[in-house]
Amino acid sequence: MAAFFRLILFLLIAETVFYLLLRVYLRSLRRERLEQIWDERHPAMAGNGAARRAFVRRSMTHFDKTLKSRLLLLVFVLPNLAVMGIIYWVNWQ
Amino acid sequence: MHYFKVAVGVLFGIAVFLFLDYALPSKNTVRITNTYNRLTSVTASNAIFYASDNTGTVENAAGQRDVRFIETVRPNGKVFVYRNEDTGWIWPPYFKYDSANLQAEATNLQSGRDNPQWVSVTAYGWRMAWLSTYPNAVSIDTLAGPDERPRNWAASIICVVLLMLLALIWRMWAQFQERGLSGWRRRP
Repeated sequence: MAAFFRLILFLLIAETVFYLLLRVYLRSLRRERLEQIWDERHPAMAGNGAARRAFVRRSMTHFDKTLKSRLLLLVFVLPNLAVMGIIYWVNWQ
Repeated sequence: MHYFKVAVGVLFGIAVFLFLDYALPSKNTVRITNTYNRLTSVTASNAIFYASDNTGTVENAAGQRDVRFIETVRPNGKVFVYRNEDTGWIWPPYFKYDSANLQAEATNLQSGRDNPQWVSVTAYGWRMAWLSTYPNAVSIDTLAGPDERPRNWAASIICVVLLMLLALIWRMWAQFQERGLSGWRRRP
């Protein structure tokens, strides 16, 4: 039974690390896109300026409420489903 | 330096291939001829090719373990021996704990040369006679004949998933190199 809990622990650690990395990646993509949007809308104020930074910061506040960042929580679901699937296919088929 | 890097890259590729070849399931069409238990000495040199020692296995004082074996014959007449051990909750992640049932199934599917019952044995691992290692059988399916070769869906799916993960990590690394941690760290 101790091995089972160790498996759960390691799986959880791996999922947390991957979740954080993916979150950084998605936020980085979104910020890049927001900077592009700003430059397209305000060609006069294009480039890294205070106004663009404020715009990006404002737009990023609701990032955690978007569908994309909620789907990211699947990182904690899919591997566990895969493990349960393997247990089923190996032992009960 | 260039040749050194190439050599390291090639060696790494070979290591990845060998790792996948060892750990992914493979299917073989065979006929089961015998099943038995045998006291097997698990030594330091071949211990990593057997189940971890805390997965329900019992070793005696001499370091010997009672291991279930399945003897088979391939359609071309060559023999092949599988072991049948629980993997438990540890590596490799097959989470197999029904080896007693699998052994009963294998015993039930034994057949002679005159009236063969062909089966497909899914297993992972390598048979290395000089190290006394055996692939671990994971499941057994009955087949209609010796020419039937079922598709190895499990290994294909795992390979595709691994490739997708590799592509994702590639993209993530490119994004990190391009922009650093700007999406994460608060700018002053």
